[in-house]
Amino acid sequence: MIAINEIIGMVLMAIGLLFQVLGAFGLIRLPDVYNRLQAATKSITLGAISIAIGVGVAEPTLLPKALIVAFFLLLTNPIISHGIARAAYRSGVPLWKGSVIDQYEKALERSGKGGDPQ
Amino acid sequence: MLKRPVALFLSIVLLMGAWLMLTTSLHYQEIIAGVLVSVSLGIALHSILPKAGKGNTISRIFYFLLFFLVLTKEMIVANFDVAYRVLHPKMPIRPGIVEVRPKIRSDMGRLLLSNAITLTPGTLSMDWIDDRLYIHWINVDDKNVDSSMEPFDKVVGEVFP
Repeated sequence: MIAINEIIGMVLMAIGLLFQVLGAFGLIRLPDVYNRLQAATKSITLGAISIAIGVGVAEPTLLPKALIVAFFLLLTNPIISHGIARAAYRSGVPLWKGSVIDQYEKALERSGKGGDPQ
Repeated sequence: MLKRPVALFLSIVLLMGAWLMLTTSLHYQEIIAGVLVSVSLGIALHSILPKAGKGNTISRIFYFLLFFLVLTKEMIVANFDVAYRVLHPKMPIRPGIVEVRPKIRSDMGRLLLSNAITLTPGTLSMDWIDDRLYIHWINVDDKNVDSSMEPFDKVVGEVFP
């Protein structure tokens, strides 16, 4: 006899795993750093949060820890991807050749901060 | 040292709460260690808590909860959007970097807005230069640039103007 909360927890973990797999798929298929970061950040944030909460629901003694882990993932993942994207652009990683617009380049030149790691 | 007693109190309460959630035990040794750690960390670090913004506290709390609801919904939409773009055989992407001008002025508001934008469908915030935000957008819509930050500019602006 499996308790109902274990079933819900397993469903949440399965959904999380599915999104993680999709994120990994995006990492392989999409063309450049920035597009890959898009897939990685979104799927991996929600997937990891879903797995953490699933573990907490299936095993209620772990729920507070799981919530803290989910909260910090939600807080830190976007910041890290933002840092990677900015550093990649400033160290000269080009956009994919199919990109349609780049307003950042001109703005960097205008502000005179291009190439400056600050 | 005690220029901001409310901030000191709040940071000690927050740190103690996090400690209790991490240890999940009410044994007296855990409590003593937690009080020691959270009081010393609170005294050392309470000055970096952001200052309270202007405006009605109750409506700010309401808008903060609304922000979380919108964020959750947008994150789920974003994941289906990624799944669609990744699994589609032709990969319907049209990437580019666009410039938007949010109305928010405070640091906390800008942090929340850029994080939220990163988690919404198809957008990734890259940099602030002066009061402009640069966003990498996976499917650029030239006519409607502001739609990349639309759900959040107003809600976050109500919490941290």
